[in-house]
Amino acid sequence: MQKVFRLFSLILILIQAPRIAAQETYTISGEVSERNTTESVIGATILAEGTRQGTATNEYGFYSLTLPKGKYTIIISALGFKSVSREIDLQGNLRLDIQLEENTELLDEVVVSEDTERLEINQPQMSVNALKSTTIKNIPVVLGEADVLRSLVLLPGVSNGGEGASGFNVRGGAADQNLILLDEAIIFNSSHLFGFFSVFNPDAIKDIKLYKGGIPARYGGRVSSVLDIYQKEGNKNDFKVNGGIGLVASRLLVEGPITKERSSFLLGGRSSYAHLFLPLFDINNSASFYDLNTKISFKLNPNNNIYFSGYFGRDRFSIEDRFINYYGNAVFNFRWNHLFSEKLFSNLSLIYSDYDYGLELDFVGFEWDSGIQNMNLKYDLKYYLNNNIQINFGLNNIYYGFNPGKIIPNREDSGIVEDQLTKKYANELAVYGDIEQRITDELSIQYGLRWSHFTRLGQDEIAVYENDLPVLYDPETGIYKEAVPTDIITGERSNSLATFMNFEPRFSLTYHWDDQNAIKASYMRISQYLHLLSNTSSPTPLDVWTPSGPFIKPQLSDQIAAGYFREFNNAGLSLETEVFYKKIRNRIDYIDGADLIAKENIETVILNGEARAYGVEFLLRKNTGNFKGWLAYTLSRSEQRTPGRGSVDFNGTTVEEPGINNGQWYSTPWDKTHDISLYGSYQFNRKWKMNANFIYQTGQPTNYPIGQFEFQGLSVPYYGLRNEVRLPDYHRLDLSVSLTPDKNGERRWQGEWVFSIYNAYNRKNAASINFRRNTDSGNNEAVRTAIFGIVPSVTYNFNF
Amino acid sequence: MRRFFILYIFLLLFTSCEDVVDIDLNDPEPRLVVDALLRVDSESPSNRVSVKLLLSSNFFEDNTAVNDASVSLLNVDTGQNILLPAEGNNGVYSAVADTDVLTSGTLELQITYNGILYTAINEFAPSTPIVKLEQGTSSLFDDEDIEIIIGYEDPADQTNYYLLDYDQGEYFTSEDTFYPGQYFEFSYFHGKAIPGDTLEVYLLGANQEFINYMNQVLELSGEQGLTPFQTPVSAARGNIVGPNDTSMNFALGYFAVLESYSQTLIVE
Repeated sequence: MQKVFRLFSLILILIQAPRIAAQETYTISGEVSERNTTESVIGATILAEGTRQGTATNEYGFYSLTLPKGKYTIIISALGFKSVSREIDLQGNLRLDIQLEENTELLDEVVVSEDTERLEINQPQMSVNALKSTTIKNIPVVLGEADVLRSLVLLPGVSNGGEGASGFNVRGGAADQNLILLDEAIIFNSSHLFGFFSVFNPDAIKDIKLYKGGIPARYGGRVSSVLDIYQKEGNKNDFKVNGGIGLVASRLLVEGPITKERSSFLLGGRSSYAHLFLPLFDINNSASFYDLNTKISFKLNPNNNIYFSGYFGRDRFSIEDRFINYYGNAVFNFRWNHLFSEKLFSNLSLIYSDYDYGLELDFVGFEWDSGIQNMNLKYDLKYYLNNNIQINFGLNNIYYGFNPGKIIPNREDSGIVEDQLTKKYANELAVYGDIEQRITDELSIQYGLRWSHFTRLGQDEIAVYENDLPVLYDPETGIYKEAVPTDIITGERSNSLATFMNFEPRFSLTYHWDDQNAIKASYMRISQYLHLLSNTSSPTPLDVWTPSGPFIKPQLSDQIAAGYFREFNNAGLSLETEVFYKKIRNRIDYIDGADLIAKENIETVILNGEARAYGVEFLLRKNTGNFKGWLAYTLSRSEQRTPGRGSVDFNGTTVEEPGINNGQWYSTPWDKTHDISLYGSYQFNRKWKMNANFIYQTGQPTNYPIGQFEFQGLSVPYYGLRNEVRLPDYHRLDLSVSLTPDKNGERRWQGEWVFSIYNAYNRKNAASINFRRNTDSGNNEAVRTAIFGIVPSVTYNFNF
Repeated sequence: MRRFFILYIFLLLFTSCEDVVDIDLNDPEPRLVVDALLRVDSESPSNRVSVKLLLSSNFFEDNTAVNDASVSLLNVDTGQNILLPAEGNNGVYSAVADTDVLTSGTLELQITYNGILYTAINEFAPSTPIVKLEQGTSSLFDDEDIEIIIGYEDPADQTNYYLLDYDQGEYFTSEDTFYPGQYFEFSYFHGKAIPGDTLEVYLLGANQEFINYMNQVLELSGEQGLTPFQTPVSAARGNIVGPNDTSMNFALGYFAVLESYSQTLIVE
């Protein structure tokens, strides 16, 4: 507590220190939006020419800039837009709403002022990657469906388990350690069709930011990254339709004004064609998904904006109605932007989210239903104290209800007895304060503190174990075993089972000695109270989220990162290099043979371990001109270990528990030593554009059997230490060409063809190598599974 | 909205997804393998029990039989000891035992091989008779699969685990968590049987530890189907205990005494 107190004193001193000599100042504030679409522009820079005073718009397009009274030329610019300048005479607080026009002069260099770049380098925030929806649409992907997650993995420090693996891994973290926010709401499952597509409709998305480190204090709850996605608000002037027809799915997005300039709606849908996808698995049955994105925005007055939004996504997979599997997210969201003054911006969010997973197995005679509900209240404020200090503060409370599973007989003659696995409840509260401060022209810092508090609430049935040990070590056979509860007690919801509290300091700084060079450094601590239980290398929808509690401790991560950033103004190039080291305490691991499905007392198969990751990342990016693209390289290592919990007595002698994998560090399944991604896009002329990616990655860690034994007519391979060998290296080239027909001209209907080839040289990249006995020949063999060979596809996109 | 037209383009060229690859594997230090699932028909006054001993091998080679061990079965409670002599050169050791010796008390399997004593302890695990066994007509993943419907009455007031042996190396494990004390009927889809085959189907009793072991064995052997994900791996340690100091060189396999009910099904 003393430490915290000291930290606060330090903060107070820092705020007081750079007070400028008394001078009459006024504030310019307002919103920056795009002229045609009326969408607010995130991250636009606002500068007073000739001074070093400037700011940037927030997630809702709002900015506030305080200057001494006088005459100024204000320049507003954003990447991809024509810069705007306004002459102002500041004799009082001024509201200045700006509309930017998209820069459509494709063959001209996009004009970005020097000052803009200085400002980017100026910001202490590091380890963040932004992607625009247009970039995502250009990146060639399998089956021609533009995809957020497939695009993210081309960035340094981000990878995934390969084709057919859902989720993504950031800086050696697990897929459940990513906080995925869609319009501020938490998304629990980010994939459709078992990982082939992500749940985000690229047409509805406005802005994507991925924080890999130096995560600001306003975010918390997941230890590895934050993927912050904002959807479009909807066009307040014109009725617009755009869509696309692809091989797997089609999409349509309609937006328009409800009352012109005041309110708008957005309705987006995406649906796959059933039956299309499954020849892949040699099954003649159906798999399908759909998404629905809706949003209504109201501009009540310059100081108040209201947004209602909803996301609803579903996957359905069935085999002749004998096996049915469905899952999806539903999110309802109310947000209210309110300006208390030209210097104090606030956003209140009320979010209800529901993740549902169901299964029907007719041949066994049951239905299975599980899910997570949460109610999330967020109140975030930003105070523009002066041009050197911005203060972010707020609170967040999330109430969770977990339904681990309910089994219901699906027909009269079923022998199944209805049963409900004990529901779990928890509450997570966090309060944060965060200050962005410019100390000198060269040095800026951001420092904050998040206090998080987690309560595992009471539940109907609580298992009690001898010596509080739900997992037992049997020294005789050398294996961990599930303990049998000695008692089951009933609990009240109001009595908490466990509470945890963590202080999470965050700090980052930038020092930029000129307009092109900067060094940045950051430290962060984040806690995570929810865990995804999965013993496959990447999450499947069946995996169960479970809250921390009496036997499962919260994960706690510390990460330091440092980097050198350089802008090459003339060439439109930028270089980002970073090193990072992170350590995660209380990473759960599973005992050998753990069965996680429909498990009432999950703590009986879990041990607490730790994880660490470190590496270096390079990103060379070209953002302007006819040729755009980047080269990303990551060299890293990601490991985990689970040591024994001490010693046990065995026939009078003391035996040390070995832990999992003999207590030794082992590579996580997503550890990739080298990861290179090259993405390029070349605009030949108005008609033709070409895109290409090349990816090279060290093969994922895997296991080869150290031997084989025969048991009851089965050939059983057995294994030694975990993840000691690797799959062959992964590499792939994807190409796409987009054709914008000449006849588009000035007409309203604008069409575009995208022809793409995924895995152009048809490499059979191994997703896994499994060892089995061939039932026809009776011989043992190693079988490589490669998901996609060469996949050509065509998509037609349109808007009017 | 003006004209709206749908273009449906089908250009899907999937290449196959599985192929056999050559992987070099190191030769392991051979371990003793004990295949000792004693299936006991409790309605018969005596049962022939047999144990198979092998040495483990490289994944691509066959296990070799162990014929020079001595094997015995001890009822720890009654002190009765049954010697299981080797049948021949196939690694099988067997003897006829009174059913009473097998169905009550703690049983200990003792194996002496190369001067080292390996032991394992277990108790009789009860099962229940098969009430219904018939062939169904539907399929799930593969049209060639044979649907087998089995039904049995789960005993009330106790937790039961079952190992179902569908013959030809196909197994299924079940526990009565969701059907306690009920008549339960479900389908299994047999991937190897073809019309004309005679299948001997066993409903075997089991305990939780053995079912966990069997699930691992089934998963490791790929019998539960291949997935694009890597199989969770393990050392597949069973309940055979060797000398203290050879914990990393333990024996493989399992010893269990299972009540057995069986019926035959002729595949049509």
